[in-house]
Amino acid sequence: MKLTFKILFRKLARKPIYSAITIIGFTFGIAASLLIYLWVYNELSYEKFHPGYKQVYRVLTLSKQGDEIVKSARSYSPLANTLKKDYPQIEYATYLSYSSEDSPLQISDDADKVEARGCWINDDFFNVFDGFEFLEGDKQFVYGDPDNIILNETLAKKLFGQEPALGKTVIINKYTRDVYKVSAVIRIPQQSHIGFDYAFSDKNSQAAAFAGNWSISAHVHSYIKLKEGSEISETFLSEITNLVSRYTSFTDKLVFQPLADIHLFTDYETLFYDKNIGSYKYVLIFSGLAFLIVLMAALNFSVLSIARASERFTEIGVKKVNGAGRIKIAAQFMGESLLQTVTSLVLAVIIVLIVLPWFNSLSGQQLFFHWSLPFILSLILLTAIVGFVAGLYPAFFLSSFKPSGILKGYNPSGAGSGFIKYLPAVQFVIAIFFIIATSVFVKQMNYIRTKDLGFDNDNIVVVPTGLWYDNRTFKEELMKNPNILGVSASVGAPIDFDWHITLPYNRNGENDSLQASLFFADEDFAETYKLEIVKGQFLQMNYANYWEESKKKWESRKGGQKYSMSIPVVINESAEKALGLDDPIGLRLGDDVIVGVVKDFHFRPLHYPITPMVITNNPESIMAMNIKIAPGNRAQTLQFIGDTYRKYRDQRNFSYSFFEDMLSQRYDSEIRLRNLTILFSVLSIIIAMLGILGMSFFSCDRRTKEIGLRKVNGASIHEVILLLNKDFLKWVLVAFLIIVPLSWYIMHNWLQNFAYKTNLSWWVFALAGVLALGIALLTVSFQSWKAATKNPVESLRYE
Amino acid sequence: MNKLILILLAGLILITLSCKHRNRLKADETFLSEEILKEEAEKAEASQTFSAEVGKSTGESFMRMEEDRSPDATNPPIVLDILSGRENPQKVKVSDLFSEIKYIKLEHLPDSAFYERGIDVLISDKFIYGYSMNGIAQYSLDGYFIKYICKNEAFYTKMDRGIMITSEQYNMFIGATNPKLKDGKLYYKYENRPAKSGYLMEYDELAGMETLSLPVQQENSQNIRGLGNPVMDLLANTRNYASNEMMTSPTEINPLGNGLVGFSMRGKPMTRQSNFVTVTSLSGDTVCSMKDYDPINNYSKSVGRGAEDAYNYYLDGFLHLRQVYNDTIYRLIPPNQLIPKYILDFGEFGIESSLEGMDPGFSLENKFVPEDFLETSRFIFFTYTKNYPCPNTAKNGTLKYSRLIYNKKVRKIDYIYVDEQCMVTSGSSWPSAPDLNIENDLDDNPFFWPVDITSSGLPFSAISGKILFEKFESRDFAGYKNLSDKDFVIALYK
Repeated sequence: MKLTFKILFRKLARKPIYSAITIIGFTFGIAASLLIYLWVYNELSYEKFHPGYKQVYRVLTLSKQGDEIVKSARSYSPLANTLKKDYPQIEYATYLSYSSEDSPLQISDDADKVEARGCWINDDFFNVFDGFEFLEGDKQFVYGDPDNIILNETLAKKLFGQEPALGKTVIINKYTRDVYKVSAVIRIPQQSHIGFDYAFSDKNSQAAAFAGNWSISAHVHSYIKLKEGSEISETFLSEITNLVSRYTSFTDKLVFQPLADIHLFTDYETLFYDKNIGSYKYVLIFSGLAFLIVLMAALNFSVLSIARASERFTEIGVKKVNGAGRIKIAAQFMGESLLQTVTSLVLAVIIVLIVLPWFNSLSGQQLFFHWSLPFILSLILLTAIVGFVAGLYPAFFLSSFKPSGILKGYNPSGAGSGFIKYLPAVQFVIAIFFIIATSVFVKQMNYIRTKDLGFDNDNIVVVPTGLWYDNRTFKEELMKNPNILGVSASVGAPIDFDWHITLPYNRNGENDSLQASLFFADEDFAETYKLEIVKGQFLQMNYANYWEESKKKWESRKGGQKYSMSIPVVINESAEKALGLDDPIGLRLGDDVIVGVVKDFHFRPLHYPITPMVITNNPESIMAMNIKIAPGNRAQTLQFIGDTYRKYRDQRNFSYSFFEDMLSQRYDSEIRLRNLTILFSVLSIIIAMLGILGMSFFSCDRRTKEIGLRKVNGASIHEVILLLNKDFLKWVLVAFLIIVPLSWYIMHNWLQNFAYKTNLSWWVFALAGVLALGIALLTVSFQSWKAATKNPVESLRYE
Repeated sequence: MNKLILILLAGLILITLSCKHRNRLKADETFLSEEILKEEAEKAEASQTFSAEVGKSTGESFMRMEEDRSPDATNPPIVLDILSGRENPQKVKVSDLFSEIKYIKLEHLPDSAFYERGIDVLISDKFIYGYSMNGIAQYSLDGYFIKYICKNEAFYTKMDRGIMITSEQYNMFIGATNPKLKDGKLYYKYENRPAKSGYLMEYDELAGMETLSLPVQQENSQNIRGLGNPVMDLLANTRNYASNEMMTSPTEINPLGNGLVGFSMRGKPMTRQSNFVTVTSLSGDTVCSMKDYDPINNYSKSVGRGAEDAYNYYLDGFLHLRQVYNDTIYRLIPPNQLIPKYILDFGEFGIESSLEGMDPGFSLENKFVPEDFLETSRFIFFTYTKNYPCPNTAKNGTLKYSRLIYNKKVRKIDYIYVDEQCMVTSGSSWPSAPDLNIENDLDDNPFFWPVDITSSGLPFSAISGKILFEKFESRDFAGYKNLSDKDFVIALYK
C-alpha cells in the first residue's frame, strides 16, 4: 500500500498537467453527480418522515366526465369515515377539506390581517400523518373544542412572531366574526405534499353540515392507513373500489395511491392543493445526467491512462520479471485509480459544500448533506464504482503486457485500442447533446414568454379579494385615477383556469351538450384584457340585473313554476366550433343565452390547448380584481390601489401580483430544468474539453519526432497544425452525426408536454455542431500550434 | 467495457423505477374505467327507456327514472336472525356499549303549554330541537332555549288519558309538523289548513357560511310564521304528484338533498293504492316512483289494526325506510336506488303480508311485530313484540316484549331480554317496553333505551320527569333534583 502511494505521488508529480486533467475531471464529475445525488435523494425522500408512511394511501376517484374517464384526487366528505367504519383492515382514515378561498386571520380586532388558506380535518388526521412535528401543543388534545385552530409554523410566526401561540386567540372576521383558540402549532416539512396554513376539526360548526354530504367535492382529499399486517383479499379490494356506488348513485370507482408515490408519480389533476409535486421523469433524467458526467470523467481517466501506457512499460516489465502476477499489477493500477478517485471525492465534497446554497436557489430545493450512515455508504459506493469503472480497463490492459515485448522495446501505446480513438467521439456525443438540449429549453422558454396569449396582459395587477358582491363603487373610484386604465372583476386571473361544466342546448330540434370551461367575469373584462370580439357583443348584464333575475327565478320556484333566468354568456371560438353552428348568437346554453363570441385566448399555461370556454357574469363567483395600470408611476399607482382597497374592504388583507409574474410561476419547473441543464451542459463541456486537452497533450507529446521530421522535410506550421487537429475533429464530426437524430427524438418527445411549442429548427443542431467544433478546435489548436512551432532540432533531440 | 456501461445504465434505470412503492391496494384502472362506462351506459339506457314509456302513457316527456331495488352484489343485505339467541338473553353493562353518557336538561320554555303532550327531540351538530303538536323550539347543545322555529296553532280536546282531535279542529291547524334534519338544515312541513296552503320549509342552521345566499328579501306574502325559507309549495304543482298526497298527514316528507324530496307513507292506506316512496324535485316533478309491492286492495271491513311503527330514519346522510309489516329495511340512494340493507328474519313467527298485519281477522298472538328499530353508527337497538301492541293485548297478558342489540362491527346479536311483560304507565293506556337488564355502570342513573340518533349517529334518549317517576318512582336523575313532568333530560350516549 505504501509503495502504491509512493508510486502514485511520483507519477502525479512527474506529469502535473495530466494529473491535473485527471483529477479536475474526476472532481467535476463527482461534484456534479453528488449534487444530482442530493437532489435525487431529496426527491425520493418525500413523505418518508411519517413513521407509518408505508401503510398510508391516498384515495383517488375514477369518474366519467364528458366522454372521458378522469382520475383525480377529488373525494367525498363522508368517504374517510365510511371506509374506516366499514372495513376493519383500515385502522385510520382522514380527509382534508380545503377552503375554496383564503381568509383573513388576526390576533385582535385591530391587528394586521394575514390571508391564509384553511382546511378541515377529522380526528384521525394526526394518526394517519404521524410525522408532523408538534412545535406547540399535543396531538391528543389538539381537537377538543370545536373552536380550536391548528396553525402551521409559518402562519404562527406571521401572527405571533417569536411568541408562543398556544392557547391564544385568533379571529377570522370574513363574513361573520369567528373566534378561535390555538390548540397546536405544527411544522410541515418541505418533503410533504400537504400545505395548509391552518386547520379546524370537522366538528367545527362550519364543517359539520358538509361532513355527511356525498355530493362530490373538489376540495376534499381523503387518505387511509391500513392496519399493519392486515389481510388484503380480492373481495376486500373489490368492495373498497366500488364503495361509492353503494352510498350514492354515482358510478365512480376508488383507486389507492401509496403516500410516498404522490410526489413523483402523480399523473392526475390535484387542483392547487398539493405542493411540491415533482416527476419521476426528472429523477430519471437527472440520474442519467449524473451517470453521463461521471462516465465522461471516468473515460478521461481510462483513456489517458492507456494512452500513457508507454511510461509504465519499464515498471510493469521489471515487476513481471520479478514475479508479480497479472492480478497484482492490475490491483496496483486499480488502487491508483481508486486513490485518485478518493482524492477527487474529498475535493468534490468541499466544492459541493461551497456551491450548495447557490445550487439550492437554482433548483428551488433545500438540499443539504445528510451525514447518516446510508449516505456515507452511498458516497463510498459511488467513489468505489467510479474508481473501479475508470481503472478497470487500464488495469487489465496495462497488466496484459508481456515482459519480453516490453523489454525488447515494443510500444503498444495507442495501438490496437479502438476504445481510445472513440473517446473524443463519446465525450462530444454527450456534450453536443447537452448543447442541443439547452438550446431547445431556452428556445421553448423564450417562446412561452413571448407567445401571444390572445389578450393584453401587460401591466395587469391582480388583487385577490375573496367573494365580493358589491365591488362597483370600488371600481368606480379606481377609474378616477388617470394611471388606471381598466378594472374588471372575475373569478381569478385567466392564467390556469379549469372549472368544467356541461351545458345542454338544442340544435335543430336535437338535444346536445357542450363541455366547456366556465369562467366568471364582469362586463369590463373584455375591455381590460383587450379581448377581440368576433361576433355579437360582450357581457352586458351588470350585477343589479343579475339580482333581479335571480329574485324572479326564486319567486317563480315557490309558485311552482320554473322561470328561466336569462343570463347572457359569451363563448370563445373553440366553443363556437364545438357547437357546430354558423351563428351561435341567441342560442340558449342551459339557462343562459349566447350574446357574443370572442377570439380564442390562452386561459391556461401553454402545456394545454385552448378548449371551449363560456364566460358568464355571476357576482357570487367573483374573487379577484384585474386592474390595468399605466406603465409609469407604478409605485404610486399600487399605493393608490392598496389605499382604495383598504377603504372598501378593510376586513381583508391587501395583496397583489403582476400577471406576468403569476404566469412565470406556472413554468417554474421548466425554468428550473433549463437552469440545471445549462449548468450540467457547462460541466459536461468542461469535462469533454479536459479529455480532449489531455489527448491532444499526449498526442503532441508522442508525435514530437514525427513533427520534427516533417518540419525538417519542409512541412509548414499550417500543415502540421492541420495534421494534428484533423484526428480529433473527425471524431467530433462523427459524434455530431450520431447524436443529432437521437437528440431530435428526445427533444421532440419533451416538447410534446406543451400544447404550444417552438420548432426544432435546423440551426439549433447546426449551432451545437459548430459550437462543439469550435470548442474542440480551441482546445487542441493551442497544443498543436505549440508543437508545430517547436524547433525541430529540439524535437529530434528530445527523441 | 461497453457491456459494463450498458449494465450500469440498466441498473440505474431499474433502481430509479423501483422507487415506486409497493401498492397493496393496486387496482386495474383500465378495467375499472371500462366498468364505469358500462354502468353509465346502462343507466342512460334505462333512464331513456323508462322516460319513453312514461311519456307514451302520460303524453308528457320529462326525465323519470325506473326504481332500482337490486341489492349490492359486493355488499348484500345483512339478515338479522331474530330467533337466534332468544334462549340466552344476557344482562348487559352500559360500559360494554358506550364510554360516556352526557346529560342535558332542556330549559323550560316560556310557553309551558308546549310540553303538554310531551315532546320529541331532534339533535343536530349545532342545536337541539324539541317538537310537539305545539311547535318546534330550538335549544343550544347545553339545553338553553334559543328561540321558537315555529309556534303552532293546534286545537284539541283533552281527555283523561290523552286528547281528541275532531275534524273541525284538524282543519284549523296552522303550524309545523314532520321536522327532519338533513345536511345542516332543519326541514319541516308548514301547513295553513284554513288557507289550504302548505310548504316544505328549510331552516339553515349554519347561515353565514362562506358562500352567501342570495340577498333576496324574505318572502312574507304567504304569511308563513315559521322560520326558514319555503323551498317547495306542496299544493302548487299538481301535475305529477297528487297534492293531497303531499298534504296528507300520514305522508312523511323526507328531504334527500340535491333538490330532491322523498314522500313516504307512515302507515298503509287500505282503501287506495299508494307508493312506498315517491322521489320528486322541489318543483313537484316526479323523478322516481317506488311501488308498494304489498298493497292492501279492496279492504272491505270497517275496522283494521293500526300500522306498527315502521319509522324511517336518517343515517350517514341517507334515508332508510321500511314498509309496515315488512321485513326489509332499505337505504335510499337518490334518485332511484332502494338498496336492501337489513332483513329481519322472524322465521315462522314473521308476518306474511301487510294485510295479515292489519286485518284483525288474522291473529298475531304468536307473531312477532317490530316495535322500534334504531340503527346507530355502531349498533342496532331493536325491540319487537309478540302480538300486536295495544291496550287490549296488554290487558290480557298476551303482549310480550323482546329486546336485542346487534353489534354491526362483529355482526352479532345480543339479547337483552325475551318475552317480558309490557309496561303501562299511569298517564297512558298504551303499553311500552320495560327497561330491563341493562346495568348502567358508568354512573348511578338508570339506563333508558335510546329512541333516536343525532345527526352524527350518536344514540340518545329524552326522559321527562313524568316518565322517570312512572318507571322508577323517583324524580331525581343525572344530578338534577325533583324533575317535574315538564322537565326533559336528554341522555346522549357516546
